Amino acid sequence: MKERQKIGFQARAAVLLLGFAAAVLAGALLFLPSVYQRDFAPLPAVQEELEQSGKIDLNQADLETLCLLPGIGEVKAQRILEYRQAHGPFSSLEEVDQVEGIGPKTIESWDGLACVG
Amino acid sequence: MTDLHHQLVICSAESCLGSPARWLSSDLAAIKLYQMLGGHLILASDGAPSSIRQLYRQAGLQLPVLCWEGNWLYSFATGQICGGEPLPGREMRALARDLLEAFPSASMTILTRDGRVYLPRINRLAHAQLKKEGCLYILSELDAIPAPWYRITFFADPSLFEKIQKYLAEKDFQNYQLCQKELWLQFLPRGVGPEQVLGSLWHDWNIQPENTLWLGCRALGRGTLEQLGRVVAAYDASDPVRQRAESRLPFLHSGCVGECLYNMCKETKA
Repeated sequence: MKERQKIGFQARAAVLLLGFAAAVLAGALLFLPSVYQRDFAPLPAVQEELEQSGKIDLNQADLETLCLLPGIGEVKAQRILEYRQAHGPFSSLEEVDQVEGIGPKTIESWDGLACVG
Repeated sequence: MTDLHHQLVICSAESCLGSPARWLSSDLAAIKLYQMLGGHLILASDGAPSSIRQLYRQAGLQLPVLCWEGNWLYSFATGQICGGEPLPGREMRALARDLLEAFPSASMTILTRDGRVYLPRINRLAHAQLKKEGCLYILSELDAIPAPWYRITFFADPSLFEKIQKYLAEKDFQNYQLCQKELWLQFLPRGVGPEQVLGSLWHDWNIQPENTLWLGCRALGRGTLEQLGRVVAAYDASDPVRQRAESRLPFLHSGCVGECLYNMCKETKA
């Protein structure tokens, strides 16, 4: 009888402990930086590279960095990446004209901000 | 043109970018790029730091925000007001107690270093103002409010102001500056103000005043305004700012802030 009571007590303690652990985990998850924050926080490596060159290299930039250019949202940035993957690196800024939705005016607005490395 | 590391942009959040929910993605992108290229950008807000926290996260801004009528910088990283002398502690606590006793219908808010606003007593004027600013407050006994204090705002019926001023004049304690607005009297540390904040930023970051862009509406002292390299007036800018400005933002959400920052990035490297 005493043995059964002991097991019951241990089981209840284990359930309580699990509940506590779950609550702690949930709390920790709540205080993690939001996805948005993690997505857009400047990456030190990218920032360092940008500060040195002073321009966004269209052949190296990732999606987030491309989104910093005027007239470029996530959709167009994704198209640039796909084009790069399909055709290899851009040989000139003008070649970006081939990407759907990006015209000469947009490319002109990147003057001094973007380059092809 | 000097490099972006030695340039400072102060941009009024509400007058130039609008409410956080309506920020243009182009403005946001330009701010991020400007920062990533090494430029210093600080937002000035009419609200409390809590009202602008999310906006800072979205923009990836890592510098302090200029708050409380441009009088102090608040750092989200440390959760504290950066720099600036607080009010003289013991004397102000005694003065606050005296004032609350002498004017039972008045209310008071106290700003502490962590940017929190404490209320030893509330009335409808204080409540309305704090609601307007989007400021969260803590009701607390005067003695329980932690030091140091940076600002005491005394809310009372304006008809009482003359009496209060007389009451204050009788006290042999003048170690503060008093600022009167429509519905409140503010006790501030001596020498505090946007000019002093700008001066310390220029000094700390080794930035020349002429490499500063003032994008906004808030007036500065004439001397400081003249020192700035470039001033762009927001649509609701004060008269001195309008007169000094080279250009104006036509309306909110015009994308002009982004354009301005992109141009700075281009010019700097040209």
